[in-house]
Amino acid sequence: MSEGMGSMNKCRYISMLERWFDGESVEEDIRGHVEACSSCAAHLKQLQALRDAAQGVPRDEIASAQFLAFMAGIREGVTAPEPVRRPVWRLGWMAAAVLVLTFSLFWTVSGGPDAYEATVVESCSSDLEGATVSAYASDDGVMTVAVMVSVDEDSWGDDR
Amino acid sequence: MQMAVVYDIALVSRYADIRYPEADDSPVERWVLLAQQGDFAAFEKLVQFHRNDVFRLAFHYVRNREEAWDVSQEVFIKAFRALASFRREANFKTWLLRITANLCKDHAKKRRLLTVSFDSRRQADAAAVTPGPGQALEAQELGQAIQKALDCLSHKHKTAFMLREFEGCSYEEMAQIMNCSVGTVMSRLHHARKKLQESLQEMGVRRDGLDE
Repeated sequence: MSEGMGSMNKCRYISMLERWFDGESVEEDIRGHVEACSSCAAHLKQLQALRDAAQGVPRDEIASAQFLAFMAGIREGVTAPEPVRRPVWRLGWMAAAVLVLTFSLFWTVSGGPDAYEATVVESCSSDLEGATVSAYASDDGVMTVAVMVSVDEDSWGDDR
Repeated sequence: MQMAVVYDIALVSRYADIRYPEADDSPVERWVLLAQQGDFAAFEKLVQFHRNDVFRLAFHYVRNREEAWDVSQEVFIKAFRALASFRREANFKTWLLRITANLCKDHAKKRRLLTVSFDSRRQADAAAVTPGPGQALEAQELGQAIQKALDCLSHKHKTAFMLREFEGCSYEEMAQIMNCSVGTVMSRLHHARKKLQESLQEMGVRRDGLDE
């Protein structure tokens, strides 16, 4: 069984060989390498055979005489109103908006979670101007400490 | 004949980066600039100049003259509408070929829904071109075999092969058209060739260099 193009060539020059074959610039003397390397020579032969085969693919063109007819269709197309197409991302945003609205409505109707009641058990101020520390305790025995800092622009003074 | 000039005010006002043609601009660059400013006659020149670049590629994808004609017209209509977004960083031809490749991909998707499944078509095609033992294919038959082998490739691999072998694009141009790096172009091209070779072997194509 014959081997395919990629499977038979393990030479490290394969990539450079293909670049050279496609008319791209290469850093080394690839022609000299191909003369010395039988696997690259075989690979080059395959590349050329494939290129030759591709030349047999039927081609077609628009002749000059057909240009006016071709252009007439384009003119008609560009003057026609552009079809309005909603992009997919816009549909995504719409779906997200509907979800948020549904969730908000559900939240409003159900009244949301029970209000969490807690009482301040201790509150004090600190040396830092505008900072207050408060400790809250709920009936469940959960203790929450909140540090509130109110900063007005003047409080930074000239130190900064 | 007097060319009709269509002034699309919306198009012009959308285009923030207006530059007027200069003496050292190539004719294509000049036509692009004028077309971007709403000169339909300049756009018509661009169509005339590039019609076969677009049509040839479309024809290789769809392999039907009428469909290639329609797709090519659609490419130019789309290009006209998107002219404002063309920033002239890429070559205009490259930009057109990119639109062509994308439209042909959409076209193939639509057509796949209307035709027989891929596998059954591939089997039928392979059976149709399998030559007898030792029989050499003539160039035309070989070309048909290549076309059928191209059907077995993904859109990306097929595009890489067609841009290189049929359109003669450089790696850099291919990278712009396929919106990828040059390294990715090389990888796609290598795999496209490898798979084509394998498909041709599966079809039993015998030709010096192809069946080794």
